[in-house]
Parts: sequence; C-alpha cells; structure tokens
Amino acid sequence: MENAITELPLALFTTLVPIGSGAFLALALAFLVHPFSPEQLKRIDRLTLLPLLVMALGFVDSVFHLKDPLHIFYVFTGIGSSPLSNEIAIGVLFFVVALIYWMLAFGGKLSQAVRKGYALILGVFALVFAVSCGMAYMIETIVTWNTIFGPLEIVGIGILGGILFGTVILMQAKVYDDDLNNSYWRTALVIASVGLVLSAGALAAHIAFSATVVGTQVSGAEITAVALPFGALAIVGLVASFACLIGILTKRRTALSITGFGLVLIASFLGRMVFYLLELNVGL
Amino acid sequence: MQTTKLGISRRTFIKTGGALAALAAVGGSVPLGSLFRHDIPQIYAETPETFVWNHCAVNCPGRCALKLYVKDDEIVRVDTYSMDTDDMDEIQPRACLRGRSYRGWVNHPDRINYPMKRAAGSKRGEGKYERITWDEAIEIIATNYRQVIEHYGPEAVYMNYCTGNYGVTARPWFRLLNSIGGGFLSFYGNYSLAQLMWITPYIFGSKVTAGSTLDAADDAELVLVFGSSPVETRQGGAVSHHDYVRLREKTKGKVYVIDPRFNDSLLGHSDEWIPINPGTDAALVSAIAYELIMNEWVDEEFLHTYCVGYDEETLPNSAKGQNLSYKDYILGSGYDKQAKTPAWAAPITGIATSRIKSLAQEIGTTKPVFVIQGWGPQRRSNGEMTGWSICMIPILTGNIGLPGTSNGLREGSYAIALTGLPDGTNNVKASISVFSMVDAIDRGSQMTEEADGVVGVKQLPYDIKFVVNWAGNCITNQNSDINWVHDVMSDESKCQFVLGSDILMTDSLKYSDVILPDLFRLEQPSLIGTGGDGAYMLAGSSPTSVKFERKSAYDAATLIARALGKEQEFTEGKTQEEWLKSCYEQSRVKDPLLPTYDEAMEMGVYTRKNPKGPTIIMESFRKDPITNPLATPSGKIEIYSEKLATHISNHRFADDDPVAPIPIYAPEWYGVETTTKEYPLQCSGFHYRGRLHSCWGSLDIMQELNPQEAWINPTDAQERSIKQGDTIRVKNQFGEIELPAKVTPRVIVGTVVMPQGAWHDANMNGDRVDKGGNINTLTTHRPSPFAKGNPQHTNICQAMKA
Amino acid sequence: MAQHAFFFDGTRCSGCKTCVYACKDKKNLKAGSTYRHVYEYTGGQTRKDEQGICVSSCFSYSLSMACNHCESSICVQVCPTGAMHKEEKYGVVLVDESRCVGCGYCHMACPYNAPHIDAISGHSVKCDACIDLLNKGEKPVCVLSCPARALKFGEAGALQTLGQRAAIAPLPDPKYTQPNLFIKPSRDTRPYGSQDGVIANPQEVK
Repeated sequence: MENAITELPLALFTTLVPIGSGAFLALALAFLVHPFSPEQLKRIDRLTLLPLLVMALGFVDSVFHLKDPLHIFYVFTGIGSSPLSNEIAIGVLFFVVALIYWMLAFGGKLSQAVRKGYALILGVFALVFAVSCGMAYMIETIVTWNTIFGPLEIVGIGILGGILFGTVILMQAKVYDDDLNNSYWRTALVIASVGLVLSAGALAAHIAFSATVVGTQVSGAEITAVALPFGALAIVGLVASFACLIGILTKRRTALSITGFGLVLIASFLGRMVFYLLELNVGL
Repeated sequence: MQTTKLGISRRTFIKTGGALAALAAVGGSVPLGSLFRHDIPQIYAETPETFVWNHCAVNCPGRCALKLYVKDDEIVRVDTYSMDTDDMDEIQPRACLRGRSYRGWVNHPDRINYPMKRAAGSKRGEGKYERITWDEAIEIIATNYRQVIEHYGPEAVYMNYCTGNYGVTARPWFRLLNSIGGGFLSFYGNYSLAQLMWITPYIFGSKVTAGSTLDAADDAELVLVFGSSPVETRQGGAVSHHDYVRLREKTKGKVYVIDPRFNDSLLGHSDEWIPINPGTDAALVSAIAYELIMNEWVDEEFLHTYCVGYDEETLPNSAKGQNLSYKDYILGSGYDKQAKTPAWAAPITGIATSRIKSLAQEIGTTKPVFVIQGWGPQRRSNGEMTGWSICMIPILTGNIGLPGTSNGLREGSYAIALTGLPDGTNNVKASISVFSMVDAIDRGSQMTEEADGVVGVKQLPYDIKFVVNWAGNCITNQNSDINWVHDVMSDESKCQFVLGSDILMTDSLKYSDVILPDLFRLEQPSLIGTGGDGAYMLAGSSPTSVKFERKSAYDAATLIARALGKEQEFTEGKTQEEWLKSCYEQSRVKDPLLPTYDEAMEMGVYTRKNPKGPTIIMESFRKDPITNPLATPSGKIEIYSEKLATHISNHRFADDDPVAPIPIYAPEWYGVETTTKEYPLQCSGFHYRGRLHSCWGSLDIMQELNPQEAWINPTDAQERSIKQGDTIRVKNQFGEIELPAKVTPRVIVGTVVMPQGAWHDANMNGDRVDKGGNINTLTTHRPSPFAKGNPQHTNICQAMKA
Repeated sequence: MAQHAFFFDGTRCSGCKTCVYACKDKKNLKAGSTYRHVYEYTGGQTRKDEQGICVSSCFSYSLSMACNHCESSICVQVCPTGAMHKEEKYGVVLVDESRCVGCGYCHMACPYNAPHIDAISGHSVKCDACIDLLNKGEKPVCVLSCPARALKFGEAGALQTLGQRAAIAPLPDPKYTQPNLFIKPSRDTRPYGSQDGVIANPQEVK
C-alpha cells in the first residue's frame, strides 16, 4: 500500500499517455466525418501539439520515477520477454510516429487522404498502447493485477479521455460548428460511452474482485476498504465527465467539454491510484 | 571528449543514435555496444585477506570467537569461527547476531574518547561533561580517594557490580583497591542468580553450583525446563543455543518448557509449552510432590539414603516431632496446614488440575528425568524458595547423579579454567549483597547483619562514599527502581565521588564525577576460557592502534596506583600483556594440555571435548554418599535445613518475606495473588536476542529489527483496546514506561513481559516517563529475604494505550 | 550449470537473526536495508477461564529466508533491462548494476520479499548467495553463521532430499517461481495457504 505514494508518478504516466494518445481517436473521427479547410487544419494541427506535450510530460515523469534513469536504454533489451519493455517500446514508438505525423501535418505535407489514414492508425495505435500499458502489470505473482481489468481500465480512459481531449482541441481550434457536430456527435458519444463502460466498469469489477483475494500479510478485504472511497469517487468522476461530453449537443459545449476533460483527467488519475492501492502479492 | 567505461565516445554514440537522439539527452552517455551483454560483475565489499583473532567478552559465557578484518587501522568486517560440518558435536563458538554487529558498536558515535569530569555547575545525573587531561582526571580521583579513606575508611569504598568486560586480565579494579590500601566493601552474589546462589549451598553444599551439562539429557526419557530459554540466554554456537538445539534432537525424552512466555526455545515446538503464572513454580512443584507422594511415586530409598528432611525419619533432632518435614508441608499436616493438592495449585499457577496430575504421573513413572531451571524463577521475591522447590522434582524421584539426570539447577558446563589477574587480599571483612549498593549509599551506616544482609560485621560503619563503576550499566539501567536510584545518586550530600569508566556513554555513567575512556576487550590482547557441552578457550590480539586517549582498564588503574604511591604493589612491574602471559603459564601448570601462549594466539580458538562424555552432576555422591559427601552439614541433600532454620531465627524478616527451612510456595509481594485493582497485571522481563543486557542497545541496526516491545495477551489487550503495534504505557507504583505493544498468544493471560536492558530514556526533571521502555523503571529495590538479591521479575502493573 | 539452493531446518531455527546480521556486516548494510529476513509465524490462542486456568492452542515458528534464486525467477522475467539475470555457474540470480534502472518491478513481483530498491544507489539489491565466497569454494556467510546450524547451501539436487520445496506458510504456492529453498518443517509448521496464523513481526521483515 505504501506503493500508492511511491507509484504516484506512474499513476500520472498511465493517465497522461493514454489520454494524450487517445486524443488522436477523436481527431481521426473528425477527419473521417468532416472536410476541413486548410486554415481550419492549420489551427487543429497547431493545437495537436497539446496531446504530444501531454504525452511527453507523462514520459518525462515516468523517467524520473526510475531510481537510476541513466540506464534507461537497456529497457529495450527486454522487448519480447518483459511486458514493461514492450509497453515502453510501444509508447516510444507511438510518440515518434505521432511526432512525425505532427511535423508533417504542421508543415503542410499531409494530404487529406493520408491525414485521415494516418490519424486513424494513430487512434488505433493509441488503443494498442493502452493495452500494452495494462499488460505491463499483469504479473503472475501480483494476484490483484494479473487480471483483464487493468488493460480494460486503461483502454477505457484512453477512449473516454481521448474523445474529450480531442473534442476540446477541435473546439479550441474554433472548427467545431454545428455542421461538424452533426456528423461527429453520435459516433463520438458512442465511442466515449464504450470508454466509460470499460473504465468505470472494469474499475468497479476490479475492486470487487480484489476484495475476495486472500494475502499472507494483509487481506484483499483490508486493501479494498482503503481503496473503495477513491474508487467510488473515480467512477463518479468518469460518469460526470461523460455527462459533460453530452453537452456537445448544447450551446455550452465549449465550457462543458473543458470541464469534462478536467474531470476525466482527475477521475482517471484517481482510478490509477486505486489500481496501485490494490497491489497484493501472492506471497510476501 | 567524454568517454564511457568501455571507451566509446559520446560523440560516436550520438552519431549512431539516429532517431533516438532526442531521448539521448535524457539518457546520458550509455554505450550501445554494451546493451546486450551481461558480463559486468557486481562490486563486492573489499575483504582484506588477513584478520586478527579476538573474542566477545560481555556477560555471556559464549565468549565467541571474532575474526576482525582490519584495513587502514579500522575494523572493516567481523566474522567468526565456524566449520562446514554436519557434526553437532563439533565445538564451534560461532558469534551470535550481537557479535556480528560489533563494528557498529566499536565505532558508535557516542564512543568515549577522552577523560571527562562533570561540567562546572551541572548536577550529578544530568550527564553534562567537559574534557580534561588524564593527569587532571587521575588527580581528582586520587584526591577524592584519599579524602574518603581519611574521613571514613575503606568500608566506604565500593566497586559496583559490572559485567561488560571479562578475560584473564580484564578486571583490575579489585586488585587496585586492594593495592592502594586497606581494601574495600565487597559484595556477594550477582544479578544473574543471587537467590539461587545463596540457597544452593544449603541444599547441595557449596561445591555444587550447577547441574549436568545439557548433553547428559541425551539419555533422558523426560526433560523438564523451568523458566529457561537456552537459545536466547546464551546465543553463541558453542553454548546453550547450540547445545539445547542438539539436546532436543538427540534426547529420547519428551521435553516440557514451563514458562509464562512461549519463549524462542519453543519456536516450532509448541507442544512443549506449559504456560504458568510467573512466580508460581513452587506451587506447581508442591502439587506435583503431593501427587508423587500420594501415588507412591517418590523414591523413598533415595530420600532416606541421600537426603535429610523428606519425612520425620530423616529430620535432624532439633526438628523432630514438630511436623516440620517436607512431607508434612505437602500433605498439610504441618506449616500452613494446607494440603498442596493439584486443585489447590491450579488457580495459583493457571495450570489445570488434570494437567498437573498427568504431569506428575509422567514424572513419577518415567526414568530418567532431566530437570533444569533457568535463572528467571529465582530472580523473584520468593526466588530462594522457588529455586529450591524446582530441585525437589529430581530429589523426590531420585533423578540425580545417574545417566540422563541433572539436579534441578541451571545446566552446567565443561569449561577451560584459566587463572586470572590475582585480586590480592581485601582486608575489609564487611560485605553486602550485590543488590544493596544504592541502599548503602542512602543509609549504609544503618544497615545491619540482622536485617539488611550485611556479612562480616554487625553493622556497616558508614555509608558508601566512593564508587568505582566500570564496564557496567548497573547504577540505573540494569538496576531496580531507576527513579529511586536517581534520587539517591544525584543527591551529592550522600555519595562523595563516583569514578566511571566505559566505552560508551550509558545511563549509569551519567552519575560519574569523572569518566575515563575505556577499551573494548577485543581491542586488547586477551585470553578467556569457557564452555558449554564442550570446553574452549579464546585468544585475542589488538586489531588496531589505540585511538584518541582511550586506555585499557589495567593502564588506567596503573595510573591511579601510581598517583597514590602504590604502583609497584599493583603492577608488580608487569604490563597487562606480561600479566596475561604469566597468568597463562600458571594455567598451563594446572592444565598441561593447554597450548603454549604463542600457539594459542595463533590459533585463536582452542577446543576440547569432554573425554568422559557428558558431565552428570553429583555422580560420585550418588555412587557413594559416604565416601563422597556433599558439603552440607549432614553431608546429604538437605530438604529440611537446620542451618537455614538457625539463620532464620538469627535474622529479622518482614511479614511477607517467604522464609522457611524447607522449600515452600509463598506468594510474591507483587505477584499473581497480590495484584491490585490499580495494578491488575503481572510484569516480568526476559533476556533478548537483540541486546546482551544493555549492550548493543543503542545501535540503530539492532533496534530496527529487534524492537523493545511489551508482550501482552490478546485478552488483556482487547480489554484495553490495545492493538498490535500500538504505543502503550505500562505503569506501577515505581514508575511509568512507554513502548509499542506486541499483542500475542505467546504470553499467558494476566502477565505482561518485556525484554530487559532497554536504554532508559526519561526526563528526570519532568514527568520521568521512560520512553526507552526499560523494565527497571517498574521494578522494586526491596531485596529478596535471604540473598538480599534482585527480585526483578516480581512486579505488578497496569497497561493502557498511550 | 548446477543449480544451487538454500536449505532451512525449521526444527532448529530459533529466530535469533544471526544470519541476518552476518549478512548485514558482510554487505555493509545500513539500517533500512536487509537482504535476509526472519519471519515469526504465530497463531492459535492462549486464554484463561473464569477460574484462571489457562488453555493454549498457541503455535509459533520462525522462517529465515533471503533470495531463493528461483528456477523460474519472476524478477528476471519482468525486468525490463535484463539487469536481473541468472548466472551460469550456480544458478544464482544477480543484479547487473550497470543496467538496472530502479523501476522496482522485481521488488513488486517477487513473492519472497527479496529484491528491494536501495535508497542511495537507486538499484535493485538483494542476496547474491555471497557469490564471491562461492567462487572461493566457501559458503554464503549466513549459512555458517547460524549458532543452531539451521541453514545449508549447496546443489539443489542434494538438498531436495532433505526437505520440501518452500511449501509452508507464510510463503505462497511454490508453483509460481519454483524457489530453490528446501525446508524441513517443524511440528508447528503449516502448509502454504494456511490461514491458521499471521506474520507476527511485520516491522522486522520490511
């Protein structure tokens, strides 16, 4: 349980990078359903720096979590065998591919067709990263982590948070008119609802499962009791953020989306803290 | 250009880094070439090839071997003597966790480096000192000594009981006090076994001081261990820790450990534990005796041939016809007229009637039975009677002097005996109990032979005025009733001068007027003999140069003798090392098998198995009691002691002092039958793996994994809302301590136990709450009736959350 | 490679921690860093009835354990840099300090509380079976330090005849990592998974 504090940087990493990368889901969706003018694209591309910065922040923070980050390049030797190496490799690769996307887009070198495909690939790649992130924790001896719930939680926040993030970017780029909204809102809300069900549902199921686990020094019931209030808050926050997303149908869409984005960041972070609180080894 | 360990330049790396360039700035200079190799070994702590032998020298007969590895004049590693063998009979004095932690102690930040005197304006007990030179220190000491001798006499001079340093030449202070004129007020007894030591000559005579060696129990069919934890009290690899583990494997017999605490000697062997209320062993024994008598399981032939006092037949004339035999006591026809039935003993001891009966049957119908006791049961207000009672089990059943038996005392040892530095002659006849120093400072001139355990004179002529306290923490920390001791010692109108000397600043040392910086025994040339089931001797040399202005006790004593014009009388012209050699030559005359001095120093450890096998105590007496009588007045085992009856009639005792000429059960002043509403729990101490008394007690690595905790039963804890790990207060009429609770079924209901030796830590000018958790903040300084010894386990208390 | 293992005799161990401190002295470990741990596993009850008669079902035993240099070491599996590895001569699991990033995965994954991240160096540290002594033909320092002779170290093939593979409480099912620790149980010893007792000295085995 003291890991919850020491793992704070990782809780941040596993919030920021999935949500940052998930933004490309929303952008891909927008590109697919709606034609944008070159000026609009330019504004979108400028703001597309934001998810990159958020991801970079997550990476830098995770590096500082390491007690000896100078050896970090050895991490790539574990690819294939260590799920942590896989996650880092996929994450770094994603960032590089996204950075290239951004450089090309911002430099005006992306045609509409290539842009759609590239953004879509990034969106899907973001989900792959979220899965690898979750799988990094599926260690056989950590009973409460060796479940499908971890990856589902991260995929969920990547989708829900990503849609919210991307939607905010579209609004801040001043391209989110009623036209775009009409083409965009149904699909966005459906995708986001999947994210909500995955993130909130998996979190709830995870807590419930952990309560049944018996440990040698502390019981699952004991750690669940500590985690439950935070988990409940997280779920409420996730639901609230989705509710805010529904506000894209209203006139208050900008304010509500920003609120929703803030909520999903906090709620996701809380959910990740819960994940670390639930760590329970099969042994000592 | 920066290069890495493997010689690849940073510039080269960045060129080949390619797309990873952005991350390279974060990663720093790591050579790509080494990414896939595993051949870089761990870096290990350097261990120099050579070492110096020496030995542990504290209050434990282990004296375990130490291999001191030295580099740049510092001890960098401590190892021990060991052999890689499965043979449990090989003698290996392996150092315990304390011996392995010497480095942290020898280099402790509170190590004393210079002579000091009490800071100007400070009060004794405040612990404030200023540095002085050796010349100044000796001058102050000599001046005060002369004054005390002039105004009073040598009976006012006292060397306190101290157990921190042992060896052939380790203890020069008695010799010094005898050399510089007149002698000193001596003490009898010790804090380890005062009560048992006092009573044993009445039972078995003065030539019997212990029982058989533990390996004698190999042949036993039943082994009874009263109030002892052999794996904890002597933790080394060639004393009872090892010998008891070996016994348990080799003996044919069932083992029972009778103790209020499931001590560490029971770990893994819970079926051996018989929980008992502290201080009630004599009640248990009395009830067992009742069953043995009623079922005719006593060995009457043995009792009539080898003992006096069992029944009317063998009572001395002065006691005949008055129902004064032991049998009368047990059956209720004499003394308190109470039949000592199991039903009577059950509520006192906490042991079920049926269990007492079945245990008595096991004892009565099994042969041989091996009975030993630790020194816990006797360290109580009824300790003399309790220690004696336990011996009644082998006595009643004739389980003495035969294979597979002991005599009920603590296990004996087969040891190498070395001649020590001679003390010389003490011209002072007066002697007090080891436990009475602070009383004798407080009111010595009122202490009498009749009431206060003074021996040699009818009354002490004066209070103690000059104290030497060297290598000991027994003014306060290890002594009873710390709060009272502080008040007496800090009263400067009482004791005039306290000379302190030690290696570390301790709680007791704070009452010194002058402090001399001492050396560890392992920092000096040394020899010591000891043993468990097997005998061994340790030799040691100095590992490093002497640091700061520290001096050995011998050299410090020499300077004092010189200042008083008695250097030649004290040294006889010899250095400590010369004494070591000459004493050892005397030892070799008595024991020609011993190696030469140089051989001993070279080998470090000399071992010797007992060629006769296990030592069976009182074997020759059992073979022929006429030719080999005991050193008692009757020549036999005395169950009724006429000599003790005379002693009782010639001395004064309090109403609740348990005195009788036979071994009886008597309630303690603060025991299971005398708890109060305010103090409803009993409180006892135990010896702890993490310290030797208070030695090692201030080392952070020892405290970390060996915490000072109060063990409390879940029933008692629940009543007080105390949970495992809670900080609690334990208090009684003498003081209050604070420490964490260990809530455990490993202690009997109604009793709190805690390790002894924790470092006293209280604001003596404030609330005096002892945050170190030292049990002696709670113990009484009232001495036991006969030995005037320390009853440090006889306490009642209350416990509560802090 | 001849896999080596520890053997622990639960009938002899008195929980004294000499093994722990022998290791601490050799490895120069400060407070807060310990490679070997001694667990006290205690259960049962000690009670008194209204007449003050005591009945006890109390049991307690100790377990001394450092790193088990497991057959399928999970620390090696999860290590992202390959710093944690099994060397080739004795099967001892070692940390390559030049690669370790201090991520803490080994510490989280190990079910035997062996590796932990050293606060000062930032690397994973743990028992290395005193491999420097092994290379000199000697035994790990803990083994020959034990006053009760409760520890052995040697080829797993030989030691597995002396006891069962670490299948006692409070340890987990040995199936996870196949620890190279063979235990002779005492009469009090409970099998893994037992709920009869608890680790009674949690502060001493962090």
